[in-house]
Amino acid sequence: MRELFLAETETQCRVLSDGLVALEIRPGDPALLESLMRAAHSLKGAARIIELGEAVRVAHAMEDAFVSAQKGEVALGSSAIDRLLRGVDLMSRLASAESPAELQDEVEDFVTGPAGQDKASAKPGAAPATESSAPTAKADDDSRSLRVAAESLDQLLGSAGESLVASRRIRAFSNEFWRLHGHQRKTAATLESAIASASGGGDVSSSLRQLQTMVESGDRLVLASLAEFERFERNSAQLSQRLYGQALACRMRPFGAIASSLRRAARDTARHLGREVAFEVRGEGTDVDRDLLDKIESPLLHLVRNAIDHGIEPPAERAAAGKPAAGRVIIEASHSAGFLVIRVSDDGHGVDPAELRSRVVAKGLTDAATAAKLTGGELLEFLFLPGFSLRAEVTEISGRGVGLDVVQSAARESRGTVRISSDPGQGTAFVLQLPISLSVMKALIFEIGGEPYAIPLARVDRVMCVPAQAIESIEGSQYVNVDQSRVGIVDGAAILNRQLRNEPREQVDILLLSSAEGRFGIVVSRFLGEGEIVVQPLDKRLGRVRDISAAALTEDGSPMLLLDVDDFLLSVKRLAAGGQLQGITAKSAGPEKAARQILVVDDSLTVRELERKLLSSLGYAVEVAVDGMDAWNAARTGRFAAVVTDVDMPRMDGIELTRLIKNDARLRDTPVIIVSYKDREEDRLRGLDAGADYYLTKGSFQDEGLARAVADVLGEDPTP
Amino acid sequence: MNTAFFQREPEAADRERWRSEIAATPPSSDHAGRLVLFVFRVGGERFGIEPAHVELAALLPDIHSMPHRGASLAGVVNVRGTVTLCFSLADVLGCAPGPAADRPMLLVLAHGGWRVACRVDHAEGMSEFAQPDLQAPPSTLQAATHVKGIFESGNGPGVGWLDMDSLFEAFDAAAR
Repeated sequence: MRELFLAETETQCRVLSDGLVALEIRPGDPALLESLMRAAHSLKGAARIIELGEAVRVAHAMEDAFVSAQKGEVALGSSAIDRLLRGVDLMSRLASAESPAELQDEVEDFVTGPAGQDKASAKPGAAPATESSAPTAKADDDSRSLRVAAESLDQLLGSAGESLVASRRIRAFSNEFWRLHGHQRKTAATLESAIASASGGGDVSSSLRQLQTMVESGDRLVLASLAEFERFERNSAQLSQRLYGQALACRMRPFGAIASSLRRAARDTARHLGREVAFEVRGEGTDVDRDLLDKIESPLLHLVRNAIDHGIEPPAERAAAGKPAAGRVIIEASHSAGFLVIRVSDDGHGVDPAELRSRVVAKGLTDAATAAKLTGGELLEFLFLPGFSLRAEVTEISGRGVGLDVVQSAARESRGTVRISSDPGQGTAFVLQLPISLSVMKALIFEIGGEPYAIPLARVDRVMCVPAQAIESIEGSQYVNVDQSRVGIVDGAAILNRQLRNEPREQVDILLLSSAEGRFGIVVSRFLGEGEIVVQPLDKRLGRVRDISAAALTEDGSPMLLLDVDDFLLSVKRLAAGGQLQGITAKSAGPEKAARQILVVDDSLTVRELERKLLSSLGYAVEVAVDGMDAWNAARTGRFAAVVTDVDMPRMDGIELTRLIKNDARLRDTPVIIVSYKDREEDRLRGLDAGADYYLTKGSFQDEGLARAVADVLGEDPTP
Repeated sequence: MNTAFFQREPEAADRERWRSEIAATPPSSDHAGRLVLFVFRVGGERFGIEPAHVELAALLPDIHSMPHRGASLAGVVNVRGTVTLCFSLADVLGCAPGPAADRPMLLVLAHGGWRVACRVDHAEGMSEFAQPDLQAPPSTLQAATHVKGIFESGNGPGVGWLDMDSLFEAFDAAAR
């Protein structure tokens, strides 16, 4: 445990000192303060786990300093940074000290010290960061070192050695072939002389007998080599499979590897808060990609603490509700439908929708009327906002705004999702859905336009091969009948902008995919089969490619591309709706002035509709996008007069969208208006730093803030 | 591979032969101002790259095209198990069309920590040039922006010495 803490301290102290040094250069930078605060917060949590009281106090004091700076109560000047850096040193000494108690005096001195904090001379926002603030301390991914169990590595090395030996045997086969070749030549020569003597009228029966023996011995030679070769092939296939498995094992760790820290966190939190908790870890043997495990460990620890702190009621309250005194908190890892699913559930009091609704309104995030319209799911999403807590007082455990937003961003970074469900009175469950490995996947492989593509098997509904005449067509769009319902079909080549093959086909291969909005059929050139593929990220310089998520190699070593299913379905939808949409806009565009197009981006249907109605009523033509990536793909066409976007969205958030638009030479003049629930000053600055022209909070629908902002950026008279 | 072969002590006769061969090579002062380039042909034009930047030259493997990207990005190829971006040098450099490629090759280039592949029509191999012979590229040459200068060559068109910084910037732009 102590060793782990030492390692964590090393990492976080590096973040802290790098961050503090950077802070001196860019005073008040909100992103820096945020990462500093998180580092101190993590250190505090880690110190608490190993019950190193002195370290908890030091980290807590540091965190306090950063939180005050975030609120603008103090400005961290050079002397304050000196002091904080001394704190960082103290922290690492505490971590490695034989008897931390000896440092008691220094700790006391640091914690109670006159702060050395300069009085706030200016609001931190007064000197905004000059450049977009990139995260400061990120280890270089490619050159990092990994800790692999010696056993795994030895096995891998053993197999690699075997493979090396095996490859030498191929030489023997080529020798065999040469021998066979010589034999064939001899047979041919004998045959030739036999033919010559036969045409001369001589007796060839002895030659024929000789030829027969030669052919037979040649055949024996072939058979012997063949048997040997087949044995070799089998061994080689097994060896390769083993090599691959062992290499893969070096990447995987059992979920149980973090069980002890989860248990410890649960126990300590429960004891600290005076709750009785029966904590259970299930699925300890579930294999998890090691990078993924590293990424999700601290979010999971947080979810466990959160479940106990916010979920489980004090014993008396539980007794009154007729529940057993000990609350249950279960964390379960399993593989399901090609995903790693981690579920953290408790049987506590759940989230009261009425209370949450009133809290959302009280925080000014939206008005009562809109709040009443929000569905349960949309309402629970508010829990993921940074700084949002149902808890009024700040405790050491949670409620400080370092929280569920961290869980959500960790899930997204790993290409996963997190959902909350809650039964008032019965408990709350958080479900993280993550890729099993960041690198291996079962996939369906097929050809589009003569080139191989793959799609995660888990996302495939069904594959079909239908006769061409089964495809019917209504008003130019084609469909097939599946289970008595019509399913629209689109040619995959059209979506990927590949050349359409117009040759008539008797049979058509169709891939059925479905999303929340319905089912689609994708016409592919042909199916190649299914298999395990090793996913490779595409070169980072490529940026995001529409419809494509990664690459892999086929069995024969040629490259193939992995389709991004969600993106692909959006493209399908757009293509399917394309004809119709064009028809309508062409008609409605008045002769004197075409309505200016505005792109509205939000992942909440309610908000999207509110904004759409508001802007349509002002005479704008509104198009919608459901997340940043969808929006970016639409915006790239350059047909929008302005973009109105939310911040927190799956796949690509509004900040990144804004940055992309503002960094694009062609699009940079397109005004971007951010409308977000996030109303903290640093959130606003983050938006404006990214290049947004306006940063509005979602309360602005009713006060015409949005309408005014749109009119302003488009250089029009304010609409009366 | 039999490593023992390479680790064994050389024979005395070999050592003597090597000694005399090395002694016979011209004095090194003659090397000053000389430059060895890996020369290849794209369309009707010839280019050279310092060999240090050429990681691999191989027969052209299957290229998988990349949807929603321009013609400069030919697609992706498998380079020793890694899916690598492959650019069309003819497109990036805007080369005039030349004789059809009888043996198209794949060059894997590395510069500034980035490895990319590109398709060329023919790889000629190493050639030596004299620095003083370097001529400024004609301003009419399309590829001029990525060329440091041109070495006239007895056999065939001059060889454009590619500026890796500029070339990789063009790759970067073509990737996006």
